[in-house]
Amino acid sequence: MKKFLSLTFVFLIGVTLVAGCATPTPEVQVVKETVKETVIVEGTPQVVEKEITKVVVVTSTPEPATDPRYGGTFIAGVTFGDPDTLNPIDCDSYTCGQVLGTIFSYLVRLGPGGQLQPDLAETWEFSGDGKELTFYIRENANWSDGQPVTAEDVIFTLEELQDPDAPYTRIHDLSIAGEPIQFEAVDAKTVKFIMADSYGPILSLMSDMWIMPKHLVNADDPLAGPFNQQPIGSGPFKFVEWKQGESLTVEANEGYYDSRPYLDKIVFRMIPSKEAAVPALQSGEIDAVEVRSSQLPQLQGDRNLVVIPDPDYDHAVQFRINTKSPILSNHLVRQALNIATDREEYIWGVWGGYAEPSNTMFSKAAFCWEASEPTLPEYDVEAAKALLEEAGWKDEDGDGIREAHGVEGLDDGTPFSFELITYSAARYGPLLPIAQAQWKKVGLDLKIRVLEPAAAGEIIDAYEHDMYAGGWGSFGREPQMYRGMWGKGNTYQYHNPKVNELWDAGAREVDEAKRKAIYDEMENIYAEELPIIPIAFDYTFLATRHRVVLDEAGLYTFGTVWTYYSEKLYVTQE
Amino acid sequence: MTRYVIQRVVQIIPMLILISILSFVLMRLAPGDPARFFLDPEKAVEPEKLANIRRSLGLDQPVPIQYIRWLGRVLQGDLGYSFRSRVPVAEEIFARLPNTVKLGLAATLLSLIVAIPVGTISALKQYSIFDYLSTLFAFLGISMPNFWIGLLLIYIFVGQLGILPAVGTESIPAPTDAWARFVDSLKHYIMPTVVLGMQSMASWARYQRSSLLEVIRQDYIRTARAKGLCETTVLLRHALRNALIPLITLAMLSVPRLLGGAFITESIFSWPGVGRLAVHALYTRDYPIIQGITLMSAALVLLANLLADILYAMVDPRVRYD
Amino acid sequence: MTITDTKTKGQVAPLNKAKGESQWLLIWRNFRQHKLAILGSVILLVLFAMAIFAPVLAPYDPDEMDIKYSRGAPQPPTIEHPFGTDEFGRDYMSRTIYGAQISLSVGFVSVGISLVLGILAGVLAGYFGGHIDSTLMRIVDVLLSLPSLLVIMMVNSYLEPSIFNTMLAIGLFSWMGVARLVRGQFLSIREEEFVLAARCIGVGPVRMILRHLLPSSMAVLTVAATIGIASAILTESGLSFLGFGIQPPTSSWGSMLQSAQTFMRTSWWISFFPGLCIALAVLSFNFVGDGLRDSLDPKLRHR
Repeated sequence: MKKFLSLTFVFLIGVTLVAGCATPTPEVQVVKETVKETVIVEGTPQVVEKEITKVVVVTSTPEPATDPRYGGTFIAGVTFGDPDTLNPIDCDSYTCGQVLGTIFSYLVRLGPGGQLQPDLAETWEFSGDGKELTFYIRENANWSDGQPVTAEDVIFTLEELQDPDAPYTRIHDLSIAGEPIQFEAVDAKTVKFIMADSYGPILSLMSDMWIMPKHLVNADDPLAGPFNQQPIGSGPFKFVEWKQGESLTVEANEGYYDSRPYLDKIVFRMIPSKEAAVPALQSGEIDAVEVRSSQLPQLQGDRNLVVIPDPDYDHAVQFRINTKSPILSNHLVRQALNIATDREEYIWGVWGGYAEPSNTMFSKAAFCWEASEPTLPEYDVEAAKALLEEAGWKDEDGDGIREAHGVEGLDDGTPFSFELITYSAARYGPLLPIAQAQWKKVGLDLKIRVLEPAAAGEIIDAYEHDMYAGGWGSFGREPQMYRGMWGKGNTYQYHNPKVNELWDAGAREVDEAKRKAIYDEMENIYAEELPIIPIAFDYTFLATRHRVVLDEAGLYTFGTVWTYYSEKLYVTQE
Repeated sequence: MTRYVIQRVVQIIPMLILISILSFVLMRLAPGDPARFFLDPEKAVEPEKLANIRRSLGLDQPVPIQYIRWLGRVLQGDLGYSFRSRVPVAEEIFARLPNTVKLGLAATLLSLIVAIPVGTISALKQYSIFDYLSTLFAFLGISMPNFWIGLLLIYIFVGQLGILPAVGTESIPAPTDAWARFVDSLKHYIMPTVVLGMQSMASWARYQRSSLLEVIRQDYIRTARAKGLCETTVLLRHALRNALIPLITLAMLSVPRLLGGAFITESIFSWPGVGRLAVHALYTRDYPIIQGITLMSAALVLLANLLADILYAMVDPRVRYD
Repeated sequence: MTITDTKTKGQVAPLNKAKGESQWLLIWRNFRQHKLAILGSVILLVLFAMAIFAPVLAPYDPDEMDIKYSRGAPQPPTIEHPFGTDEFGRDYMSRTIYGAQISLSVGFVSVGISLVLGILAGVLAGYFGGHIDSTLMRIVDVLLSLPSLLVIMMVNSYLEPSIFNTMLAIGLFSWMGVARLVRGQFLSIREEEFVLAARCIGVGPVRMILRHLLPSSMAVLTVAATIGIASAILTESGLSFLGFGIQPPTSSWGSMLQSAQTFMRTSWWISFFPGLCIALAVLSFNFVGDGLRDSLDPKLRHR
C-alpha cells in the first residue's frame, strides 16, 4: 500500500502530562527542519523549500547516530499476518507490501516531502501537451538473476494490469478519458506512455506499481508458476525463504544498481497481534514493529527503544453513511449529527490524544488540503437539535428519543434510531460507544454492533447498513487516489454528477494550482452533503530498538521505513 | 477382534465424509465472502473485480457442485489451494503441523510426568498436607483460564525477568552449536507447553489420585498384601499398573483435543502452528484451509479413538469386542 | 468439555438409608462433610448475589464513559473507583459486577441447552437401543471429532456474535458427554429388577422414563451439570478473549480480559479482577461438583 508523506506540519494536542493522571505519558519532542518538495507548475516539476515541524516521541534518550556500517540482520515484526502473495500484481495488502517493497522496484518512488525520486527510471519527461510521458530506465538496472531491466518488462507489467478480466488486486486506473494508455518501447531502456489526454496523477501512479520481469512470469497466468513462490526482483534485496507462519527472509542483492544495501539480511517475523509483539520487541526478538497509541504507556521508560509517530498520518477515520438509508437520507440530519460530534472525546477516548480532528474529505497529505474554514459550525449541540427539529424529528412524548413528524418516507412516530456498525473491533470498535453516548444528547437512540470483517462486508456490500465506522489512508499527495472511494459501487450510495465531473476535470488538469481549485470545490460539496462524517486523523507509531538506524538520519519517512528505502537501513551492532 | 478393527476402520470413511459435508455447509452458511478479503476492506469494492475473483476461486458454482469437485480432488489426494495464498492446502498445513504436534506431545508428556507422581503420592498419603496442597493446585490449574496464565507468564518471564523469549519456536538467528540450539529450543517451548498442558496436568493428577484410591481398596490388593509381598511390590506391580491404564487411555484420547485446542496458546505465543492457521483462515473465510484442517483433525480423532480402544482391549483382558 | 466419567457407571444404589429418608437428604449429609465443596458453595452464593443484585451493588453504570477522567488510559484504583477504570473511564468494579451476570448466565444457559439435548439423545439411545442407539452414537462420534473450538467459532460467525448465540454455540457442542452419561445409566439400569418389575406391570415408556429411569440419573447429571458450567464459563472466556464471543460494549469477564494484553504492564487491575472472578467461579463449581461426586459415591465416603 502506498504511503505518501507531506511533511507540511504536524502538531500534537495536549502533549504534556495531564495533571493528576497517574499513567505516564511518553515524552514528546518537536523538531523543526527544512525539506525540499517537488511541485508541478504548468507541467514541469519544480523544487521548492518548505519548513516543517516534526514530532518525535521519545521513550529514552537516543544515542547519537554512528556511521553507517555494512552487515547485520534486521528483524522486522509483522503483525498483519503472512503475506498473502509474493506476486507484485496481486499484492494489495500491508504485509505483502512490506516484503515486496524490499524485493521489487518502481519506475519512480516517493521521497521525503512527497517528492518523486528516480527508482528504475533515471529521468523522465513529459511532452509539450502532456499527453506523452517518456521514462529512461537506468543502464545498471538488472534483475537479481543478472538479466537487465528493459522497457519490455515495464510494458508487460502495465498491460497485464490493464486487463479488465484479471483477478489481480493491485489495480490502478491506467486509462484516461475512457481510453487505456498505450505503451511503446522506444528502445531497450526507454518506454513511452501515450495518453488520450493529459493525466495529472500518472507519475504518482507509477510510484505505486512494481515492475515484474517479463522473462520469468508466465504470460498466460501470472499467478501460476515458480515466480509466485520464488519472486525475483530488481530491488535492494533478494528473496531467500519463507517459513509459513513464522518468518520470511530476504538477503542483500549484490547487484543492486545504487550499491549493495548496508544490511546483510532482513527477516520479517510474523506475530499474530500487536499485543504479542511488544514483549518480543522488549526482549530483542524483533527490532521494530508498529504499535498503537494505546500501547505507548507500556513502552515508556524502556531504555532500549525509540518510538516515533509513523508519518503515515494521512490515515483518516470517518463514519460512512448509507445515504439511501431512510433516516439518513436527509442531508440536514447528517449535518446535525456532524455538529453533534465532539471530536475531542474521540481523540482522547480512542487514541489517548494521539490524533487530530478532521472535518475534510481529503487528508492532510493531499496537496490540495488546507486548514480551511469549516462550512459548518463546530461542536454545537443546540444547533444540532435545531437542525433535527427542522428536518421533522421532534420528541413529543418526552422519552428523550425523537420521533418522525412529517418526515418524507417514514410514518409519523417512527423512532429516531439506526445502527452503527464496524468491521474492525480493534481499530474502530472503541468509537461506537462514544458515538452512542454523544448522539443520545440530541435524542438519537443509536444501536451499535461490532462485526467481523466478513460479516460486516456482506452487510455493507448489500447496502443494508445505515452507517459504519471505517478508515482509509496512505493515499498520499495525489487527490485522484481517493477516486476509488467514490466510484460506481461506493458504500455511501452517493452519486453526484457534479462531483463526478469534478473528478474527471481534476484528472485531466496538470497544473497543480488549477487542480487545487477543482478539489476545493469538491470539498465544499462534500462538506455540505456529508456522505461521510470525518472524525480524525489517527497516528500509529513505530517502535524500534536503538540498533536500527536509517542512513541520512531523520529519513524516517512514510509508513514502514523498510519498505521504500530498505537499502539505507543499517544496524549499529550485530 | 480383527473383525472389529476392520469394521471400525471402514466406518471411519463415511464419518469423514459426513464431517466434511458438515463443515463445508457450516462455512458457507457463515456470512461473508472470501473474495472480499482480497480487497482492502477500507476501499470501495468494484463488483466486476469481485466477480472476477470469485470466478477464479470457483465460488461462482452452486454449492453442491463445489463440494463434489472438492471431494473428487480429495479422493485423488489433492486438498486444493488456499484462497489467500494460492499455496496448496496440504503444504500450508504440513508446514505448520510439526510445530503443533510437537507442542501437543510436549504438553501431554509434561502433564503425565507431573500428574502421575503427584496423583500417586496424594493417593498414598491421603489427607496429608501434600494431598491438600496438590488438590488445591490441581483445582487452580483446572479453573484458571489458561490464556490468563499465559499472559502472566509472559509478563513475568519476558517482561520483568527477561529470561525467556516471547515468540516462536526458535531464535532468529538460530544458534549453530547443537547444545545451544537445544537450550534455545527448550526456552521457547517451556511456557507454551506449561500453558497448554496446565489443565490436563491438573485433572489427570486428580484422576490418578482417585483411580489409585479405588484400586487400592480392591480385594486383590488385600490379597497381595496378605500374601506377604512388600509394600513397594504391591504398589508397583499391581496397584499402579491397574490405575495407570485408564489414565493412559485418557491421555491418548486427549492428544487430538490438544491439537485442536491450541489456538489460544498459539496466538499468545506466536507459535507457528495449525491452530493459528485455522483462526486466520476462519477470519478470512479461507474455505479450503478450513476444510483441510477439519478433515485432518477429525481423521486424527477417530484414529486416536480407535487406537485407544485397541490398546485398552490389549491391556485389560476383561474388555472384549465382538 | 466432554465428560468421560468412567467411574460412576450408574451405581447409585443408596446405602445406609434410614426409613423415610430421601436420597437427597443423604447426599446432603455427605456433602456437608466435604470442606472444599462448602467453600465452593459459599463463593458461588456470593457470585450469584453479585449477579442478581448488580443494579444495587454497582456504584456506577458500567457503560458510562468518562473520557475526561481516563484520557485514553486505564486509571488505577482510588476511593471513588475501588477497582480502577478502563481506558474509557468506565468504573471497573461496576463492570466486574455486571460481568457476573453475563458470564454466569452463559454458563447456566449453555449447560441447560446441553442438558436438554443430551438427555433427549441419551434417553432415546438408552431406552430404545438398537438402530436408534447406534445412529445417535455415530452422530455423537462425528460431533466429538470436530475440533470444538473451531466449530464453535464457525457457528458464532454464522449467527453473529451475541450473548444468546454464544450460549447456543457452546451448548450445541457439549451435549455429547451428557448423552453418553444418560445412555450409560439407562443401559446399566435397564436390566435391574425394579425395571423389569415395572415393565411386567405394564408401565408405559414415558412413565418408565420419567418416573423410574431418569430420577436415578439425576445425581450423576447434577455432577455433570456443575462441572459443565465450570467448563462453559472457561470456554466463553476463551472465545471472548479471541474476539469470537461476547462483543463490546456488553462485557463478560472474558471480554474484559481482551484488553488485558495491552495493559498488562501498566494496569494490573485490568487483568486481575476479571481473571480472579473467572477463577473463583470455575473453582467453586469444580469444588461443588467434586463434592457432589464424592458424596454420591458410597465407596468414597471419607472418615
